[in-house]
Order: sequence, then C-alpha cells, then structure tokens
Amino acid sequence: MIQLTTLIAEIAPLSTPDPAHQTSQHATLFQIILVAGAAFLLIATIVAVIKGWATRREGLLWAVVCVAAGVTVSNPGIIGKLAKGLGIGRGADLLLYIAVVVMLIGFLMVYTRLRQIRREMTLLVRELAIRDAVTSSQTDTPDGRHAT
Amino acid sequence: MPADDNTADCILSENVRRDVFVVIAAYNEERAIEEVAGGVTKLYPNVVVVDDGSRDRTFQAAQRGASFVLRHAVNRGQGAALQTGIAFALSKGAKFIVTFDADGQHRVEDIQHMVAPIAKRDCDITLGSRFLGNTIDMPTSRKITLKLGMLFTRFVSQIDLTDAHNGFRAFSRRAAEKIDIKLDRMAHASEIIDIVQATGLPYREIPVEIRYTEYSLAKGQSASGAFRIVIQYLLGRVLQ
Repeated sequence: MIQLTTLIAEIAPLSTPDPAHQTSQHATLFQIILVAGAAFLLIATIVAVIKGWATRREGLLWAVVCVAAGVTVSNPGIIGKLAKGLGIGRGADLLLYIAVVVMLIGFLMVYTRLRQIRREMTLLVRELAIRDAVTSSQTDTPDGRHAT
Repeated sequence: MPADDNTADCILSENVRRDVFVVIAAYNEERAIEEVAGGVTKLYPNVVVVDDGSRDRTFQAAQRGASFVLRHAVNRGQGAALQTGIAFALSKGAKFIVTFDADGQHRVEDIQHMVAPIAKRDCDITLGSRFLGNTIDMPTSRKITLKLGMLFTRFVSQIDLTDAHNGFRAFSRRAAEKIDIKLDRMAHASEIIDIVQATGLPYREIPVEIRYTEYSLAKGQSASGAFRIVIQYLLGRVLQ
C-alpha cells in the first residue's frame, strides 16, 4: 500500500496538465533525480543480467519498468495523453488502474509461490517423519515379516 | 501377544489383521491418543500414529499405545498427516490401510466391517458413513453442517454419498498407492472423494457408529470451520 500511495503522490502532480509546472522546458530538480534513479536502476539491471544474478526475463521486465519511469518523468504530459487516448479522464486514474492490475498480478504470483513453498515444506516434513519413525518395542515387531 | 477377548468376535483372520495398518493423525491429542491407539493395537498390531507437530505430549503418549509413531516437525494439517501415515504404511508392506480418528469417535469393532469387503475383493475402498449406521448423541447443528457438506460434495464432485466427511476409511494397497493428498488441511476429506472417483476403483459405504462425546465435539468442525474448508477446497481445485 505504501508503494501505491507514494507512487500516486509522485506521479499525480506531474501528469496533471497544470500550467504552473509546465511553463518552462527546463527539467526540475525532481525530474533530474528520478530520471537519474531510473537510469541507475536500468544499468544495475543490465549488470545483473550480465553477471547472471537475474534471468533475462526478469531483466527485461525491470528494464521496461525503468524506461517507462524515465520517459514518463521527463515527459509529464505523456500519461495524460495516453489516458485520453484510452478514454480514461486523467493520467492519475490510468496510473491507479495500472497499479491495481500490477498489484493483483503480484499478489497472485506471491500466493502461488506460497502454495508451492507450503507443498515443498509438507514433503520435507513427511520425509523427515518417515525417516525418523519410532517403532515401539512393546508390541511384537511386524517389521520382520515384511522385510524387503 | 496375549489373546484378547475381542479377538474371538473378529470376522477377520489373524493373518488379515496383521496386514491391516491403521493410520491415526493426531494433533494435540495427549488426553485421548494412548487409549485410542492402544484400543486398536489390541486387535490390529500395526497402528501408525502421525503426531502432526503437537504442542503437547501427544508424541510420548502415542508411543505407549501404538506400534509406530511418526512426528511432523511442524504442524502441516490433517490431510498431510494422513498422507504421511499412508506413505509409511505402504513402505512397511501394508495390504490394507484404515484411517481412524484420534479423538475416540470411531469404534475399533467397526474396522473389521471396513476391511472385510476389501479383503474379499468386493471393492478397493470403503468409506464409513455415520448416516447409515448408528450415531450416538449427534447435535442438530453438527447434523445440519454435515448434511450441507454432503450436498456440496454431491454437487461439486458428482458422487452420491450419505456421509462424505467421515474420517473412517479403508483402502486396498493398490488404492492407497494412488492416493496423494495435496490439500494439507481439513479440505482433504473432499479431496479424497475426488481421488476415489478419479482412481475408478470400486468403493462402498459402510455403516459405522460414531460416538459424540464432549471431547470429540470440541475437536470436530464447527459450522464456521466448515465454511473455511469449502473455501480451501475450492481454491485447491482451481489452482491445482
């Protein structure tokens, strides 16, 4: 949730066609920092893929996110135009919708992974339980009869 | 082993009884498990108790009553514990596997009726039904929950059973080998029904008597618990 609210807070003022913010073509300090951050992340992603820390698919996903962030921060109007083109009133709304969809996909991926980990944990616990089974000595040993 | 007075009444021969493995999943059952497992052990020497990561002394108590005691290092749920017990029993050469509840609601006398049709090769799976048999002191709320569960099973699994959520079941070795319970928690009861159907092996319902005591009722499922199980089961089916 924190991510979502900060994301909206960061992007919303940029994407609204507010003349006060868009009078000059000079980049604001805010834009410079964010673009530099996006560029740094993009380089880090490329390095990570080359060094084999991330798979190509993960790298590509991150690269797309970094480039999209850089482009939208340096051209604040672009999201608003895109939103209008899609028939969504404001750029902020479009971002909200994208954020919700991305989060839902994220939740589903985490949930699937959680299920997988649970399953693996059960198999591990089962393996250990069978390995360390206690055979009580008070009853006659049925083991011998079924020895394999 | 000293001859027990019940032995004479049992319709199963001693050889068959030695091939029966009774699997009991126990979670925090230190009060009941020794007596329940001990009661079964008198007639069936191979009793497998799976202590599902209990926080009490179930593991120690079970060793005084059962021939084999397994322990899950962490709690994984009843479905997982039963699967562990079944896998272990198969590894020990079981020819028949019976699942039995740890809280004392099932009767040892009924095990023979569950196993006999399988031993005679009439079918591969028997499912205990409390609605075909006698049920002692079942509260109305429990009855309604179970009937709803049954309707749910009839609707979702397309199988006509009188009591789909009874922990009393018996399997032939070949049926048990096909069972792989993946829903770790309580939804496994519905899952087993699906597995039974998927195996295509013949099954039969057997009337069994269930004793509802204060203890077993406290251990059983409430209506809200049943709702949670339905959700787990449906999620499991969708995401399999």
